[in-house]
Amino acid sequence: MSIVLRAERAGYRSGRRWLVEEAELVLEAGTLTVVIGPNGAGKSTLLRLMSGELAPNQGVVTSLGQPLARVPAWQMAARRVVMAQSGRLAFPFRVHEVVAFGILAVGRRLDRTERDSLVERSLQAADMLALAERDFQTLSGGEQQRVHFARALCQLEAAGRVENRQVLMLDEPIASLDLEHQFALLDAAKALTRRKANPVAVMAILHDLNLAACYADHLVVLSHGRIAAQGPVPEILDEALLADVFGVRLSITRQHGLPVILPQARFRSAMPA
Amino acid sequence: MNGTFLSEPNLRSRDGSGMPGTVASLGAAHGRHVFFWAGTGFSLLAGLFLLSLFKGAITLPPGTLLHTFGRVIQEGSLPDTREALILANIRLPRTLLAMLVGAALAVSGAMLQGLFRNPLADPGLIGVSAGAALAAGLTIVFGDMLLAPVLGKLPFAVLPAGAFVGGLGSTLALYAIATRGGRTSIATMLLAGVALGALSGAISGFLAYLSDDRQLRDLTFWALGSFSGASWAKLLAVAPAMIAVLLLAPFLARGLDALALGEAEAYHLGLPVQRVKAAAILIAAVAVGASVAVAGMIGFVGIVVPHVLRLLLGASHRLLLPFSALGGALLLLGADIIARLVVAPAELPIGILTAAIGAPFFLWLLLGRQARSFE
Repeated sequence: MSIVLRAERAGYRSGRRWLVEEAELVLEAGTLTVVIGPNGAGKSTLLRLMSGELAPNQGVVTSLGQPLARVPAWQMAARRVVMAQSGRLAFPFRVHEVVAFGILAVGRRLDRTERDSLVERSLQAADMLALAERDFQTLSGGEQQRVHFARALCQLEAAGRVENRQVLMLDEPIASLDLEHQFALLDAAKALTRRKANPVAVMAILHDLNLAACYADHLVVLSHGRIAAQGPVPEILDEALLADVFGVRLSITRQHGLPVILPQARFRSAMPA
Repeated sequence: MNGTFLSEPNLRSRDGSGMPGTVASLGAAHGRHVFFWAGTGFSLLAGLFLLSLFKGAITLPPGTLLHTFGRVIQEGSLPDTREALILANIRLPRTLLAMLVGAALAVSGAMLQGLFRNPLADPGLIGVSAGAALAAGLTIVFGDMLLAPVLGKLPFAVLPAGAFVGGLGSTLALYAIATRGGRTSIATMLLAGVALGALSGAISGFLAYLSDDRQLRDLTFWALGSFSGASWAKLLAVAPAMIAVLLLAPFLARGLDALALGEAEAYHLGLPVQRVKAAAILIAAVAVGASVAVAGMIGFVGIVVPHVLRLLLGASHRLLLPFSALGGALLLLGADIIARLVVAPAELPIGILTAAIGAPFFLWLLLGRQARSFE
């Protein structure tokens, strides 16, 4: 499978503090990469480095071999789609208008009918079609998150007509969603990596370790700005490693063939186990 | 709707043709809505335009317009009546100027709000008008002293040029203060705007203290705003810049829409964010500088008009920017007619009127249901 984005020893510094250091990461088409780590580990910073939003102070991030700084904004927008963490809007846009933001730049060649139909299908895919006419600002947090997911799908699909190697980046996409929609969104992301024509590379930041273990093809553990471990899920799901990174004692068992991660207690190295 | 996402979001496989869907029908309904408001707006504007030509300290007989217009067409010169002279040399330029300034102020308000992601941003609020007025004040008080020996009697164009330079200067100063490493911090920019506005106000106050009686009257004119000095010369001095602004602004609509999500998100969507911001700042500075130059400080047009339009037509800048031009022209022309009539034959400075309408409106915005969007 082809590599869409690659970080080579990439780092980002704010003042003297390195938020991300020496990150080596590839995002491949057909692979769902999940990044986990405690608060402040640098997960969002890593995503922003990979998206081109932040320029690395160290190393380089490349897209199809080109350093991101040399790729113009419109071309990046065709290759990578971002659903960011905070999605507040300054003005009372309608839900369908927010979804259509996805094609502001990458969908300029589409005609009106194609745009409308694309927005509609994106809304439907995120289960938001019934609220298409609502003022975005009056929606609940979870509904707003689904609108942003629809917007991301809309951009991905519109850009997919001119660019067949794409990455979808999701920064805590399910933080405000109910249980059913959490699974639905991750199912949808997984399906994008599995489709036959132009499978997408997905990078998602998740806090729920069970969902991470369930959905990830490639699991990345971030701790204090460094990648502590990365690889296939079974290799990374190690009690000692996770306890060390998260500071919580965990037990990992399997049920119906799926890993189950249960936090046990606060981990205190001073206390006898 | 079964309450879940499609399990296979393969958007490609489904055919969007055939029956118009929900989004398409929403678009069509909105289109009719927009058409209705455009029709209403232009009819109102035409009505106010005629009213503005006939009403004032002297009410002209309705036949004057036809008579004057006919003579100009037939003989290429104005009829030598008092009515014709009032109509052609006072009322017409004043009416056009009020419309143009209103349009420019409302459009620059809408653009600055989009740029700052804040519906409360206004050329008055962020110190751009104050900077322009300060430069105008400096020109009034020190212009005679410094420039008269060189230029003789001061040509009129010095004042608009000064105000424009002041408006552009304060906007660029704001931008320089708030921009680090190519990125503009909106919060810093708003607060720096407040500080710059206060500084300009302080210096303007000091100028008032220094100035003689005639200069003081001129300064008061700048502080309160008025169209009473409108003339063809003033109109022609600022019209090209303002018309250029009104024509260029709609090109920024997509960029401003994307900025509503945030700067990073606008970049993610594929827009050249820094270029959009620089263009919006420059265009707004030109519009505000030119407005202050010919009409003084007229506040709140830039807040009231875009806000009402967002309630009527939605937030999309594709509609908001052209409709702001229409709405701003309507509001300021209406306000100018009132300013001429309430204390006739004297007239009220128009800035007093717009502030009297705008300030309670501003408070209502703060207290009202929209408050959450100002966070």
